[in-house]
Amino acid sequence: MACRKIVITSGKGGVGKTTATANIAASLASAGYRVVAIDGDVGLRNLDVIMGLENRIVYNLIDVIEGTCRVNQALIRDKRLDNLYMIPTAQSRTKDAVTAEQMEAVCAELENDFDFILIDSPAGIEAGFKNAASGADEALVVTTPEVSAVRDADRIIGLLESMGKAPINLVINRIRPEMVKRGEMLGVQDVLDILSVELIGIVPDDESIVTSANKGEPLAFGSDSRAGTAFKNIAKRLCGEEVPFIDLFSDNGGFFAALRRIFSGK
Amino acid sequence: MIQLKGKQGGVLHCTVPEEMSDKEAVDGFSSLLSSGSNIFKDCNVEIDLQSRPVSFDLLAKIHENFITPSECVVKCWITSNDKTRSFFESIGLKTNAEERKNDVSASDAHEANDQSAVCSARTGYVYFGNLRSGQSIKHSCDVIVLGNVNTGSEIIASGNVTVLGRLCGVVHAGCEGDCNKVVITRSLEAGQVRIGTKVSMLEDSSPFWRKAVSLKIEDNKVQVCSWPDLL
Repeated sequence: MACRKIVITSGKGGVGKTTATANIAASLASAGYRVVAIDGDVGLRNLDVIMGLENRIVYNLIDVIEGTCRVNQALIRDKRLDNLYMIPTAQSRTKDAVTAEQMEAVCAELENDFDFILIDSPAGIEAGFKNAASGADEALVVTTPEVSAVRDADRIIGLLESMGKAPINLVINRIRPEMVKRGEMLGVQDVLDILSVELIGIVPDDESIVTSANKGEPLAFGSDSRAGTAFKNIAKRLCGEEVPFIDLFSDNGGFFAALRRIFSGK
Repeated sequence: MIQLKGKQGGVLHCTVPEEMSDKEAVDGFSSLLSSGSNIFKDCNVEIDLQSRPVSFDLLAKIHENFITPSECVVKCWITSNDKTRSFFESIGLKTNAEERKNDVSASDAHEANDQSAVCSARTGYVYFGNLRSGQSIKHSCDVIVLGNVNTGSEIIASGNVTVLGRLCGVVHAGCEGDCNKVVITRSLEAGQVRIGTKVSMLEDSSPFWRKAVSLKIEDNKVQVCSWPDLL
């Protein structure tokens, strides 16, 4: 298959771009695709920690750009899957250490060896975001159901559209069904009404995300948590599979509901 | 995003922000064409390239992707880059330096032609799609948006403004002080609407919130009315 280059971005910081990148990369690799995740957040390196690969870093993206090493020397193979790689970025440099053309060149060099290149973009709309996005053809916008995050996502979608990125898909992260039910949080439809882009995933707020990020074990590696399942489903939808969205609003509390889950094996 | 602004004298001013790469600029011109309907045909346009260095290749792409298909007439190339200006002048294109030189001598002639020029500029602008946060439309006549105007976006028009979607952003109709202009929307969700010199503040508890409304100035105040009652 032809390599698909996808930037994972949001506008607002702290909505879960890096977590989404790590988990979607892990899900795609678990499905057998050759995947590389590139940390595009120069100066604020985090993807390596979430993927549990920080101890393996020798070279980084800036070393490749500056010609200190070849691109395959900066590739770090995942310790669990042979077909999952990442390229970390430099922690000691700033966003202007890379240009859009250099990012495009790195992605072009990788595209023959991989089915998916996922680029974790920094927050914001400045050069860092533009450089990260320039290496990609498609975009995945992550937002939380908060008014400020949705407004920033809207801004980013406008910029991505003007850059000609298509398709632009949306992931709604950290949704809390009970708050939506009480009318204290934007619902999925509210967010879609504002952003008017294709929804590719809804990820519930889940404590296991924090645990997995701290351990460097993406949930997509076998966790049966709802968030892990949501990320696996996003990967399937990216590959064209029709997967129904998890019903977050079904009753999951109480003794009888627990009994039902036990007997249904869910 | 390439910004478009109507100017007095019947000229549409296209600003190409210098932070856009050459490729983005060419794509921006193409999307301008796809989102604006026929407004460029036979229209006088000035293209402001700011301090961007322009190569022959970029000039050819602008011509191929925008000037030829839009059938517009480029009256002037504006640049603050000396090399670019010399390049334009060497191939016979009119630049802002030349325009400034001619300004004094041509002012009388301009006045005589003003009426017809203004009329040709009084062309409505139709925007297809959603106006997203950070995007803006500035136009010297009426504006129609066939989509939503999201929070954080703005429309500033000398004429009337019609939004055939949700209006959540800022709209200023009659921005040159004309209080006879009207704002119409399918769903009013903006906390503020400006007409001429007046500003109306709206709360989400208003009975008109999320309703199809028209807004107009009457008795020196902005009046909101269920559409189309007021018109």
